Amino acid sequence: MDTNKQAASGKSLWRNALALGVVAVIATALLTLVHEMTWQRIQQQQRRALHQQLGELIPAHKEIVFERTAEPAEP
Amino acid sequence: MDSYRNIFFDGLWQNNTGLVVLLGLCPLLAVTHTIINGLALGLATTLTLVLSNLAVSLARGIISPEIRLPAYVLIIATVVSTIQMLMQACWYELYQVLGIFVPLIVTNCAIIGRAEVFASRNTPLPSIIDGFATGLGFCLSLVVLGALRELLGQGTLFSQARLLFGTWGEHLQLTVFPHHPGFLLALLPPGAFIGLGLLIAGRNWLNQHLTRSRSQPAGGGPASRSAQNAT
Repeated sequence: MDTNKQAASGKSLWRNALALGVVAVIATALLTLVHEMTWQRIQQQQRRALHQQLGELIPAHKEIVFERTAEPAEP
Repeated sequence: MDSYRNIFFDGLWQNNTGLVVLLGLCPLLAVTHTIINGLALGLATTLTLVLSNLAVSLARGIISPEIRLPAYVLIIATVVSTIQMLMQACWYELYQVLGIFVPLIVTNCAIIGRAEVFASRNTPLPSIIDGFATGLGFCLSLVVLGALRELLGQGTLFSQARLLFGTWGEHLQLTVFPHHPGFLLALLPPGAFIGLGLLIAGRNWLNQHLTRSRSQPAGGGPASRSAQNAT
């Protein structure tokens, strides 16, 4: 009788683990798909927000222009 | 059809998440500085409720009672993460304004509550309707509280609408009181508590009024009322 109970309990345990695993795999697949679809756009938005913040710190009329100077001649 | 109407009315009004069941009070009080903030979080919560209810209802055959809670949390977290990424991609500024309260939708008890009480015992269509009605009720309470606080605190309505609606949202902003000096209490957490209390009182008053008017017999004018009093 106990052996039957243990077998049923073990079966139920495996079934639950499998069900939870299936849900986890589907969830991970969905998140991966959405991440693949959006990560470039998110990076772009983050860069734009950063540029906006920098623009507020350094206004347009105080634009710093970096000019390339001639490389020093070797001795 | 009648049962669908009952489900809808129940989620929207009779058991409104924010005003009757009093779940999800943290975002309700913290985010509702403006209508737009409330509307954005309300829509995100509604979408989460609809999708998680649908997923739970579809998966109810394979999820046994022993693993239901971790499975529901996993489903809700996936839906919220998806919405979070989409918000970051499409409404980045709004996402920054709402901050931590977008990922915190996962911890909203109303969502797991509806999954446990309704979606796990019903077919997909009623579950979707229940999620939509519950979310809409929560969204409505967020928007009304946001409107109240914004109007009292800043004298405007729909300020920063461009965060949600883009460039044409700039035309939506209404300045109701042009020379409003600003009422800080309305924008601070105590103002949110007072506003919520007023909303709950208003909802209870309206509900009582509706129940009383329904219980009166048809054509019950002053004459019939005096006749009732006489008897």
